[in-house]
Amino acid sequence: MAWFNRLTNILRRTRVCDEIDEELQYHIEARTADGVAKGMSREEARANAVRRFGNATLSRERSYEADMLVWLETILQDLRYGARNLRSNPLVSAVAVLSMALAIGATTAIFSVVHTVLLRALPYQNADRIVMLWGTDKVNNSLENNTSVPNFEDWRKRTRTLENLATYREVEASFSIDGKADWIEYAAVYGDFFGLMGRAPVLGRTFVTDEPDGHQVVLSYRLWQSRFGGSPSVLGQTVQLNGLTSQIVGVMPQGFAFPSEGALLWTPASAIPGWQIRRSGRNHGFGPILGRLRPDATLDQARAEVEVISQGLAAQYPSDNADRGMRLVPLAAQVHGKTVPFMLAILSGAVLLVLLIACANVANLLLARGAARSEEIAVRSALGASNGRIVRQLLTESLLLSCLAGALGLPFAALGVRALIALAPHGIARLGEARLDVPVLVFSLGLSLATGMLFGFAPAMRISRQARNRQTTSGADSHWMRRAFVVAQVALAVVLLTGAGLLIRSFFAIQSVDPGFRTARVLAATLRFGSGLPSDRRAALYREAMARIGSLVGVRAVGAISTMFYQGNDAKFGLRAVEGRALETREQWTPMTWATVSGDYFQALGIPLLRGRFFSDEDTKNTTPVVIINETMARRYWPGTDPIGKGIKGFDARGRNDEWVRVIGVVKDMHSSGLERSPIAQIYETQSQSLDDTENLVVYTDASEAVLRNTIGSLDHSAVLTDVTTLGAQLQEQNLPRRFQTLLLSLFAALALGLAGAGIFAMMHYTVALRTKEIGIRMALGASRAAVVGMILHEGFLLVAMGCAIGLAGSLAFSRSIRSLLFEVGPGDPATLSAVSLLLAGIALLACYIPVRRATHVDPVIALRCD
Amino acid sequence: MHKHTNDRLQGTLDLLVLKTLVSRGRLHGYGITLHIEQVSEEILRLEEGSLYPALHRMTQAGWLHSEWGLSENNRRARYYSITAAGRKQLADEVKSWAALTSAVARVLQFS
Repeated sequence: MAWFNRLTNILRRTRVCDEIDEELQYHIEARTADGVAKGMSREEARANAVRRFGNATLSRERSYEADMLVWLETILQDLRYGARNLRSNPLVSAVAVLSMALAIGATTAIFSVVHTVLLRALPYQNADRIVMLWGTDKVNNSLENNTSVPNFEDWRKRTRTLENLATYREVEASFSIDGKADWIEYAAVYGDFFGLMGRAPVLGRTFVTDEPDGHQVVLSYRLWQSRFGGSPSVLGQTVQLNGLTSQIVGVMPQGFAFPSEGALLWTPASAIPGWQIRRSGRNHGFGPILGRLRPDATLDQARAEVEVISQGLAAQYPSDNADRGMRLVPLAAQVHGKTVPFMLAILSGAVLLVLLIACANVANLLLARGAARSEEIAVRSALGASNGRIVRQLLTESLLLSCLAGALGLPFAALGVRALIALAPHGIARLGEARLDVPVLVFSLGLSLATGMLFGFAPAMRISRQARNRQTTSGADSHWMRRAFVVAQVALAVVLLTGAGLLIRSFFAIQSVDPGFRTARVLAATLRFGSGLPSDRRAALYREAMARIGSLVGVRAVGAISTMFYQGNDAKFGLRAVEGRALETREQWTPMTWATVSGDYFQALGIPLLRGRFFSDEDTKNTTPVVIINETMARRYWPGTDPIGKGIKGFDARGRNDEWVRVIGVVKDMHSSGLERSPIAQIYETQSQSLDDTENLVVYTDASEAVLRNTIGSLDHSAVLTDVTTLGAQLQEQNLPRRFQTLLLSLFAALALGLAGAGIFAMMHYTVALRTKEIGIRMALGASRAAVVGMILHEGFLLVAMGCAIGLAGSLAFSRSIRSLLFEVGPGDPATLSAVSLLLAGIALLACYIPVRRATHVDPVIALRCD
Repeated sequence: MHKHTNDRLQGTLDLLVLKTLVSRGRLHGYGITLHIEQVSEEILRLEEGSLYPALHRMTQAGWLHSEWGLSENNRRARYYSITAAGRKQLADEVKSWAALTSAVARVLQFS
């Protein structure tokens, strides 16, 4: 109660003060009146009263302390005083607050994304205990292989460290409700999948372990909302999935998106075609294994056990498992992957550098203001303010400033988060959920306080020390510290600029790579037909689609391929046989792809034929199987000789295994694994001799997407045309992660450059102001303007040169950490380094311009009189 | 800002103030000073200024109640009166004072 009273008294402090004064005054006057009554003169009586009263100031202060929570009162006093100081120099304060607001806002935005994507737990029960088991191949070093169902059953029986084992297979298939066809991705699950994930459905039920009846589906929240309008009556409805009728039994909650955001529903594994074969075939890979660490098991124990079990399985079933190993990955590591954490780490690093530069800037401004206020502080110090009290006052001011900046930074952060979500490449799980929620706000507040301490501490110590050492000070003492801050700013900016410069160079280097195919005026789309249809019916539909599109006005060529782009496919393969050559050992294998084309695929893409011929209508099921190969393939197997007419045997079983497949043509390489990777060996076979669907259409045309859609729509009711875009846009899309990183790092670098420039400007401005008198004397003694300019520039450039030297050393370390992002440019690229140095020299020149002008316009007479 | 070093002395002042207010009822600070002077026959002469921090402290502690009122000569003055908590405090102080004086007396009588 007393505490509360003392707290509220702070709010009416003036009144409390006045009342104490009045009370003490009353005492003295009453004593005086008594004295007069006893016959003293008025003056005598008053002097007597004052003497008897003793130290009135002390009495007043002690009474005041008794009435107030003094420490809180002091803080409030400091805050009021600080606010007055910030207001008294609005320009400096605005610059400081704004630069900090930008830096804190940017850092908060990045943190929001990092928190949402990486730091938050995955939306599954105790997700940190869930692990994944990926098959490995000891021969071709592939690391993410599927495990067959029989092997899964053995794992389930043998493991003692994992429970709730499950496995899943990602599937794509046609999906229709009431005859409206669509194509979706989903997961077929086997084992205790839903038990493992531990999330209850929002509607209906999930299916039980190892469901024998495959005709049921559990919808994702997304699909439920988009296709069923979130209606509860969805339970029991039927859908056509993969040509089979299935019943909807449940809906999972929002955020449940396993294995990826693309998975729109879940079915029992028994629903997928060929389940009976997979169920018993030990060499038919099905999917990765999922499991939960038992409460008493550690990750290391599980890893050790995985080693033991996979060795046991290899020994027991050598024909299928001899080369197979198993790799345990925590679920979070799997979901986050490697590229996203790496990208976010780089962005976090960059934004922290910007934050440090902003801190150095503000520290410098505070030092400058401290110098300007040195007299006031010296007076306060002389009047008995303790050193700690002055440091506290100065720190309160910087905390006030940083919290103001933090609050102002929140709108920046909100904008930043939205921009990040909009600009970021697709496929970053949970990114869309990033917002300024409580943890992010707490982070922002903590960041504001920390930066306030960071940039306020050194100036506060410095200024209070000056005030103590010399009772009035010119402030020149802090000069070296201000220089150090400028050098540090320049160094940090150089690090960021070099990183951004290298990424920009890489970006343009990639843009100028010839993809090896035509990108202008080529439409690309994915065409699928109901997966329930027999394959020859589908093949006929593809032929028909190609013919109809080819006959459209403005279409110059149309073709299709089974797979056009391969993502990060480093798996190595070899041919079973090459005519006239000895069998290759597995060590000699190289990355290689085998795709099926139809129509005028090469013509549509403008891929030139180097030797031989293209496929023709004469190449059918009943004639000799033939392939076209690319240059890399030709060089790899027939260096220096003509590959036309040579025979090869493929690696997959296609029924006519022992027949030689003849090479009929060689085409130019194309970048099928992205522009950043060199072309790999490619083999093309024709649709008429293949079992694969050629889903990916390419149309060299002036016609619009709409025409294409109409043509396909009238072809078959099960036809689904998706991902209609231009090939150019598709290439851009592949480059999106790099574009995003480059853009952001450039943005941060520009911010850093601006801040560093402002820092140099403030420093030089201050230097000139400090040396006005000296410059005046020099000019009075006959120094030329050129000499004065040289003197100022010398100082400015010395700082920049030191900063550059330190920064370049630091940038080597930074660029090495982003080496994997660099393309055709080394981490120590001399062109980038010199461009950055020149840029900073230019900025320094610009920043020195106004101070130099001011210096050369110093009037010696006025300068000499100014003290 | 440092605390009073002599707790006993401060306790004595508290004791005197509380006792004064019990016997005289409502008084302003000057009145308390006069009463202590008169009753102790001017032996106890306070440094008058030091009375006020003590009054404020005891008010915040809830031992005293303070209010503004009119003095004998029609001036505004702050009057203090003792609260129930103050009486209890006085009882404690009296007890410890008695213990102290009797202890000191015993030491003095020891020969």
